[in-house]
Amino acid sequence: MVRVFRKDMLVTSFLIALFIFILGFYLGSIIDETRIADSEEMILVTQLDTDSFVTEKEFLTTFNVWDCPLLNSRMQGLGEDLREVGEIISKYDARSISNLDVYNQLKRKYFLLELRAYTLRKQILQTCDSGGGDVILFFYDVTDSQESLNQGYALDSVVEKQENVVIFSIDGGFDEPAINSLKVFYNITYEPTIIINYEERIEGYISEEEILKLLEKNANM
Amino acid sequence: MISTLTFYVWILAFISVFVSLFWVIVNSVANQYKKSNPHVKVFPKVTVVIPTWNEEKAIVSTIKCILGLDYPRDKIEIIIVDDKSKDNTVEVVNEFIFKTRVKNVRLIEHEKNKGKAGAVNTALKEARGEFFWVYDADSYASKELLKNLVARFYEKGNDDVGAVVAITMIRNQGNLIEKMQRLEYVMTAFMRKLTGTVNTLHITNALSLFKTGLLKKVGGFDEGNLTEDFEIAMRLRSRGYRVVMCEKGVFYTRIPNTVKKMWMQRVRWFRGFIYNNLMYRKMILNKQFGLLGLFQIPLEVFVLITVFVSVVIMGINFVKEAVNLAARVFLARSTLFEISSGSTGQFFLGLNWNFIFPFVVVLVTAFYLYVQAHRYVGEKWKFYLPSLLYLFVYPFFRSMQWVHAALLEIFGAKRKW
Repeated sequence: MVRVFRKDMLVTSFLIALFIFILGFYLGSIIDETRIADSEEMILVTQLDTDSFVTEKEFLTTFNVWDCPLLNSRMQGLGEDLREVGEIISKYDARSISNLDVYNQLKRKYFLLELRAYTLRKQILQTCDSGGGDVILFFYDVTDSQESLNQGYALDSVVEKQENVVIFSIDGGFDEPAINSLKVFYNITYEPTIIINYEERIEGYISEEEILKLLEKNANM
Repeated sequence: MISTLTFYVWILAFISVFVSLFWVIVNSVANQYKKSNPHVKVFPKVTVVIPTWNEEKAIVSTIKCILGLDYPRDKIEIIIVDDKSKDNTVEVVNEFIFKTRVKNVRLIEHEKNKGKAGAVNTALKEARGEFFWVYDADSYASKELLKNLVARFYEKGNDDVGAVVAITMIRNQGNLIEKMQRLEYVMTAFMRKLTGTVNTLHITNALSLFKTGLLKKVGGFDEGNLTEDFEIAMRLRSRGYRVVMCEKGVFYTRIPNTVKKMWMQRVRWFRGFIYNNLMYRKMILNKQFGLLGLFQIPLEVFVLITVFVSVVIMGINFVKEAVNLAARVFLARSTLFEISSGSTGQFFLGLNWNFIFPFVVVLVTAFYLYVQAHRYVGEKWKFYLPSLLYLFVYPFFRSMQWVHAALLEIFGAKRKW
């Protein structure tokens, strides 16, 4: 066996390792760009769907031809689409190593869409005297709160059991004037808090069984 | 945003890739040279010491194996030091000497148990050979091993060699535990070749060959040490002597065949590693010891520290994930595996590439070294269950063994074999 150590072996190894990691960061940034593009496209589509819904609602209002079942069904679809968009954006956001500002903008757009949909649903409820289902507004804490996570899981289970329930999830700590107004309106000081059918406010974790009971009590149908 | 955990994983991954690449480069450079092929010109006298404790079944075949080596019989002195066996080892050896009338086999009996290092030191006092070969009773050497070990001392430029280490392979390869350890021994042999190539080898093992005079000069083996073979190598290195590999010839040893036995053996090794590194801490980051002091030992200490940190981090995350999973299953009535929403493309985009990328890079380099290690020992590599367990499951057990060993050292648990 020969002794063959040379300092350039260490230097070369270091440089190759560095190159691999720079390449990794580069690939990571490409993946992140793709994620952002995908998120933007999803938000755009949802935004168009919302605009389409608003336009249709205005048309129906103007010509006084209300079709409540149609509006309720479209509203239900819009809520489900929003939920899916929210899940994907939060997953992408957790994976991102940069582009914090871009993700904040995306989340802002998303939350605004949720608030818009939440408001539209209230309008339909007032006009049709039936919201076509139940609505839960969920304020959660994004910073490592097991209680908020548990509440999310319980709400998932509620949706599984009652298909006509739509949940709008809002990050309580997100700095957006519209969210702040909503928090003031509902006096949100703690997350998780849920608002059932625009009225019933529950602070802290509440189990699936209790939510179902409250939904029955405050049914929109 | 980069979390602390992600940053930590990246640092670890970078160091892993850097070190793996370093060994890949060392290997490719070393492969440009032929394996050392020591030519035996002289046959100096070698004292072979066999420390025994309850070895009645193995001792005779071990003696016969030594006498049958490709080395002049009159140049071999065998000293069996019985460390107060409870079985018939002494009677079996005496009977063998009486029946065969061999002149060069001696038996020394300890009046009380002194441990392996004590037995070896007893033989060292009596040794008349120029070289001193510690031979575990449950091991056996390939015929050509001794002459090749000796020849390494006589190679040009090897005047400062204090010990020669042989490639170790295993005798028993029956069950899964043994098969996994076989892979470990293959990797160890390869890593010793690489560390030997850059002169950072600092461990000896069973069947290592020493210069008798040098061993006596440095005070023999440390009798209170759990890994006296590691300590003696560190001592030799700290005094400026080198430890080199002999690539021609192999010795075979028995390995633990149950999880419990393996666990206890590894914990003992790791305790010895921690203790001896603390004892020879002056070598860490000491320019006097070249790459050994500036790279190899600091790297090993770093690995030990990261094992600790990683176990703590993994433990915390494991608890958090377990709580989360339990919440998901019981509160959301979900299945264990979450079904991701969105398309297949969104599924891939949503994967945690921050962890996957460095993991893949480390895996590729580890795989390359795995294949090279098999080539080195002349075996065809293959992937089967023990390989997968060795690569993906065993590291977790190894980490726990490190933690166990470190805790025993921290709390000053009694050192016993």
